This record gives sequence, C-alpha cells and structure tokens, in this order.
Amino acid sequence: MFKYLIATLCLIFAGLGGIYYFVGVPRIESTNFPALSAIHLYNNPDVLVDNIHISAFYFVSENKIGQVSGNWHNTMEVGLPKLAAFHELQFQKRSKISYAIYPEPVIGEKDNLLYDTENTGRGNPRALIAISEELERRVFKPDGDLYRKDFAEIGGQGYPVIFIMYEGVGATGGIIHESARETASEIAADLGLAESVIFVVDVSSADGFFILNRETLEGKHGPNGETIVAHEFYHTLGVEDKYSLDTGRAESADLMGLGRFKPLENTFLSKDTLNALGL
Amino acid sequence: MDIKKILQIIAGSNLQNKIVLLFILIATIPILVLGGLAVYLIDFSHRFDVSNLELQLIDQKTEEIKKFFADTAGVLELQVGFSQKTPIGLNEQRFILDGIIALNRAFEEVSFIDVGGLIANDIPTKPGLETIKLFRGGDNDSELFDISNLEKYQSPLSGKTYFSEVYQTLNGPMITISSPVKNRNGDIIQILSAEVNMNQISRSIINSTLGFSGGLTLLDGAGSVIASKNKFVSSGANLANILRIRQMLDGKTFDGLGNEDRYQSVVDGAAVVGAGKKIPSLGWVLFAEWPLDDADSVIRDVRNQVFAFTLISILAVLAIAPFFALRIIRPIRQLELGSSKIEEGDFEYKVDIKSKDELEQLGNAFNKMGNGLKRLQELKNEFVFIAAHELRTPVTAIKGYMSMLFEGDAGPVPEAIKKFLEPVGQANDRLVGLINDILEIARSEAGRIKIEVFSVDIRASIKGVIQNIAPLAVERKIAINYAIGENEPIGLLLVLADTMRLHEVITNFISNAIKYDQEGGWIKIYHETDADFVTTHIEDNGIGIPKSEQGKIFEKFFRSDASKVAQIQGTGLGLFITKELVEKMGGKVWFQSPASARATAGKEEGRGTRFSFKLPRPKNKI
Repeated sequence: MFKYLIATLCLIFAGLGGIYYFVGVPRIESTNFPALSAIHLYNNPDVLVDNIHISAFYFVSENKIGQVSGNWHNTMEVGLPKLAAFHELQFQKRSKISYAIYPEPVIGEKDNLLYDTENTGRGNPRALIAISEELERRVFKPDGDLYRKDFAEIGGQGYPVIFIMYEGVGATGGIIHESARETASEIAADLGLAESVIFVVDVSSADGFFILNRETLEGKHGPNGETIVAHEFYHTLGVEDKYSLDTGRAESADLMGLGRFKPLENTFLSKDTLNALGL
Repeated sequence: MDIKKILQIIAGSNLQNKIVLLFILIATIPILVLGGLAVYLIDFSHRFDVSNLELQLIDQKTEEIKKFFADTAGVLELQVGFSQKTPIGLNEQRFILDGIIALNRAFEEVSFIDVGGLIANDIPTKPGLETIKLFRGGDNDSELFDISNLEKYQSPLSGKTYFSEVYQTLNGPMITISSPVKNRNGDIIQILSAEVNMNQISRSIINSTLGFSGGLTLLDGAGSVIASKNKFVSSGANLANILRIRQMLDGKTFDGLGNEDRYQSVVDGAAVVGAGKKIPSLGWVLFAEWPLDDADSVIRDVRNQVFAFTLISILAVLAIAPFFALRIIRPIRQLELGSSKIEEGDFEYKVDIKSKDELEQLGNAFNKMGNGLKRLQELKNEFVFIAAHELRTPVTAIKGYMSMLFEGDAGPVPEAIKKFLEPVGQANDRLVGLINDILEIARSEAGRIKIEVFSVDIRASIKGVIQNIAPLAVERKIAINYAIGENEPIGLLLVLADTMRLHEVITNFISNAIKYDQEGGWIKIYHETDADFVTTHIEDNGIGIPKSEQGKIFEKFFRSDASKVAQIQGTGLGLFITKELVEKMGGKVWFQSPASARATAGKEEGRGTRFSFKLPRPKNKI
C-alpha cells in the first residue's frame, strides 16, 4: 500500500508539474532571421564600407587668398553631419560616416588656373586630381609642410575619403583604384569603362575623393548644396549618375538622379542603389 | 529504529493507508483538474483579449492610413471642366499647386508634367517635362527636368494613380503619388505628381501602444519598414525574407490566437504575441507585436496565484489525509482493543467512541455485548461454584469412607477387593482436587478469596514444601537443589505474602517441576533480590514447553500437548490459580526458557522450564 501511496504522490506532483510547465505556457515559435550582408562599394563586395572616414579640407588656390571665406568651417560643420545622418538613415545604421576637418584653410601652391586647367567640364575632375595630389604630398606625407600626424592617421579608421571644399569651380567625385597599369586607356579597358571617365592620380592616403565649390555648398549657386555634397560623396563609393549627362533627363528619382536637386532632407537613395551597395 | 520501521509508523495500518490514499485521490484529482482547467481557461480568455486588442489597434490604424491616402491621393485625382486635349494654363497650374501645398502639410513637393498635349497653334508639349514644381517652403522657380523615364510619369499614363515604394528621408518616410489629370472626356492631359510626407502615419504607428511595450510596425509592399514602434528596427529595413512577413505580404492574416502567433519578434528576437494583416488597397502590411513579458504579465501573476492555490490545497490535503484516516480508524482500533480485552476476560472494558454516527452506535452495541458477556460469566461462575460446592460434600464423604475401609474400620479388606478399591480412591482424590481447584477459581473470580499479607520468610516456606514433597522427588529420582546464592542476604528472606497461599504457590511450582521432569532429572530453586522485590526461580530440565504454547500456559484449563503425549495427569488449573494468588499478593508470575534453551533458539521443547515469581519485600524488616 505504501508504494501505491508514493506512486499517487508522484502522480499528483507530476500533474502539478504538468500544469506549471505546460498548461497556459506559450510555446515560442522561432524566427529565422536571414543573414545580413555587409555594406560594400557599388557592385564590389570585396571592399567593405561599413565605416567611412572623410578627411575634409577647405582648399584655396594661391591667387584667391583674398577670397577665403570666414564661414568655411561652419559650412562644413553643417553639411558633413547632415551627410552622416543621411547616410546612416539610408543604410539603416549598418554603415557610418565619421569626418575630420583640417583646421586651417589649405592655401595651394599654385594659381587656380593651374589646378583647373583649361577644361572645368563635368565638375572639374582635373582640379580634384591636382589638389588631391598636392594634399597627399603636403598633408599626408610626414615630410609635408602641412603634415599633422593626428589628422593623417585618423583616416585609418575606415574607408578613407578626401573631401575638398574648393574655392573655385568643382562638383565631382570618384573612387581611387590601385592599378598596375600606367595609362588611362589600359585601365579603362581593364574596368570596362570609357576612357573619358578614367583619370590617373597619385594618391595613396584615400580610396575615394570628391570636390565641391564652396559657394555651391553654401547655397549661393542654387538651393540644396548639401544634397550636391551627398551626391558627389556617393561617387566615392562607386555609385553612378542616374541622369543623362548630355540631356539632363532623369533616370531615377533618387539622389543620383532627379533627387539631387531636392533638399537633402527630402531625398533618398533608391533601393536598386542600396542593393548594389550591399543593403 | 531503522528506516523501515519509521516508514511503517508513518504509513500506519493498511486500512489507514487505503483511506489516506482514497482521501488524497478523491480530494486532489478535482483540485488538479480544476486548477489545470482554471489556468487553461484564464489563458484562453487572455489570448482572446490580447488578440482583440491587437486586431482593434491594427484596424484602427488601417483606417487612419486609408483616410490619409484619401486625403492625399484623392486631392491629386483632378478632372478639368473642358474637353480639349490641352494642358492647364501655367497660372492655373500654379494656383492649383499652391492650393494643394496649402491644403495638406503632407505634400512636400507637387508638380505638373506634360504628356504631349497641344498648346497654342497646335504645338505639342514635350512629354515627360515638368511644367511647374513647388516645394514646401522653397522658392517658386525650381529647376524643371525631363522625367519621361520615371515611373511617376509613365505609370499614370495608364489612367491609374501611381504609388511609389516608400522611401526614407531625414524628414520621415515619403511616397511619390502621381495621378493623371483628365479633361471632361476622360483624356489624360497632364500628370499631377506629389512627394507626400508620411510623418503623420509614421508618428501614429510609432505612438501606437499595446500595454507598456507593445506596438505596431508598418511595412510597404516590398516588406520594408515604413515605421515601427520598436526602436530596434531601422526604417527601411527589409523583412520580406522572414517567413511570417512573407506570408502576410501574400495575404495571410494572423489573429494572435494561434500557436504560431507567439514567436520570436521579427524585429528584435524577443518573445512576443503578434497579429497582423495586409492592407489590400496598398499592398502594405500592418502588424502588432506585444512582448510576452508585458502582454502576459497580469495573466502570469494570476496563473501563479492559481497554481500556488492549487499547490497549497494539495499540500493541505496531504497534511489532512492522515488525520482524516486516523479519525475513521480510531473507533475501529478501539473496537479491536475492546475485543482483545474481552478475549482476555476483561468484560468491564468499555470502548469510548464519540463520532455521533454509526460507529458510535457500534461502540455502544459493543459495550452492551461486553455487559452481556459479563453477566454470562457471572452466571457461569455462580453455577460452577454451586456445582463444585455441591459435589465436594459427596466426594468428601466418599473419601472418608474409603479411608475408613482401607484402615479396616469395616473389617479387614481382602487384597482382591483392595486392588479394585485403590483406583477408586485415587480417582476420588483427583476429583476432590479438581473440585477444590474449581472452587478456588470460583472464589477468586467472585472475589471471595481473602488474602492477608504479612512478612513471611520465603526460605522457610520453600524448605517446608521441599520437605513435604521430598518423597515424591525421591520416588522419581529427581534432585532438588535449593541453595543461597552468593549475592543473597544471609538469614531470613522476608516477603509480603499470605503464609498459606505462598505455601500453595510454592507447592504448585515444585510439584509441577517434579511432575514434568524426567526421571533422574534435577530442579534448581534460587532467588534474586532487589530493593523492592524478591524473585524466586524454579528451574528444571524436564520436557519443556513449545514456544507456540508458552503464551497460554497461565490460561485456565490449558494443557500442553507435550504433557498430554506424556500422559501426565492434570486439570490445567494449577498455574492459573498460582498466577491469581501471586498477583493478589502484589506480585508477578512469568515463564522463561532457561539459558540452555535460549542458546538453541526455538528449541525450547525438551530443554526444561524456568518459572519465576516475585513478591514485594516489606518496607520495614522485622
């Protein structure tokens, strides 16, 4: 009888356990979360850009010292945080931008004509190249006259980009690829691009660079200068223009197309563009 | 005390265990079933409540979203009052756009787009070219572009309003809506496009509340997050690869009641209860997620309380069950004890059952039965006393005349006659003895034996008996050894006893020892003393008593099988009378197998006996 008593007690407590652990206790269905891909260069998963660092300069050619803006630093301090916020929003916080502004205007060694050359079309890429090479030599090399160790080394924290706010004509940007080739035609052939968009540049401290006229950024040549900054910045990640360079016809509604003329607060990157960047 | 004994005490009797078991089963099964059912029903009801709250919130927000689009897309569906296929004049366009911007703060940008209609001199306009564009808060001279390759131009040409995918901006989620502008004939003469800020919807979703931490998430048709209460999900994040989201995008509704509706949040992985459905007119999905920690907090407390109550109830039942069983068992045990007492002849014993039920009635009946048995016993004793008393007179007369015959008072008795008369005399002696014993017992049970105890030297009594009985021992070649032990006091060994009755007791023990001893055997008599009693042992090496009979030897008329086999004469009353006498003198009688018998456990028969009795010592020695 005693064993029946023990067996009954066991059954009772098993029943209690059953109530406690099973009755009214929700079973939680597991959810399979797909793995997130890393943010990378446009159509190039080999180069990750989850952290981007912009080294920003206000560059003034020697002959325009008298035109140095007293508000240049403030202009950058407004535009770059907005760019960072826009980028973080579009990439859902999976890619972030940090920046450092060179504390003084960089006075060029030459007159603007020598940077701009005779052709300032398509956003003045030649000025971008010439100024970048000068910054490379003077700011990023230890023997440069404007070298600052803390500034030069901070670029090592992410995908390095040079931004030049230029006291002159300019609105372009691009990626700096390393190549064993020597001529633009050879490189264009390698990359499958037109030779006209290939420029040979000697800059090792950055993987992307872009230039923008100061007055454009300040909105003196039309509204939405900050949007143009963002537009040019995304060229440094390899994103192409989404409008006809010849007719101006928009091919997309986003920042790289029609949206480049909207306030930065109202524009966006299209899902196609974001997908190509790994989102 | 070993564990098994402890368990047996705890377990109680078999019937008690059965009652305990039955009580536990009868009491706990309903408690368990009711407890489980209560928990189940409470949970079931709670699930309905949660489901209703979630679905109500989803429906409410769905209506808000529909109203939002009725107020925005509806405004853009424009039909002019003329029938020509010409665009609206620029001044009118500007007027309309100003009105739209002013009408609803959701419009961030509005524009007209030409579709190739004819203007003055039948010159066609350029299809896809913006004709006028206004930004909220912007200047009125916005740059105009050819957007003929964009969906917001191409799609409305089919006659339907176009809704783009939702895109995320620093100003909040936005959507492009463009509608065909039609003339009176229904011809499309322009496209009216707007960038619509959905902050109103976004704020509504973000501010949605379910309990303390639950809320809604709104997805567009591609599964991208438009807005979410959950701060861990980024706007624009695409969730379409998650099965549950995919199912909702395909039109499945989750009502929050199914097992699959309690799951790891698709947003942050926490355990949630969720419901959701598609908004068919937009292709969007609106779903609610309510963390279980919050949604079930109240029900968890209630559930724990019900469980605790069930547990306490069961523990109480387990605690009460033995007492309950004992309450039922106690009268039965009293009856069992009463039966034993009556079996022992204690007809005075009364059971005391106060259960106010049939058991109490049974107890009363039992007591009445005891009274009846007592009366019968008294009648029997009376009869035996009278019969024995009446028998003693003739047998005593017979004994007297037999003595006179043997002594020759009636003349010489021939040897042949004497040979026949001797067995008659012996039989008459046994009959006299039997009648005397019966009378003794009858007197004792009737309380008529008068015992007067004084200080008596027990040694003198024993020696006197030995001297009287010695011829019998000599005849059977049995040696009687009575010696003073090493630890015994020298001189008189006084006990409180009635001299005559003590003599009778000692005679009985020693004569029994001679009777049941083997020829050539021995009898040892010795004492043990302590401060209060003198114990006397009479030990022999006779036929012994089987263990199975040892408990009965002091019963009335009991005779051992061994003595019957040995054809030893006896009435079975001697030890009973002896015991009665010793106890009436304030002493005690007992039997014990001698040391030699105990050494061979269980083989007492044939190993002799040792009878003992003890009597109190006088307080003041004389």
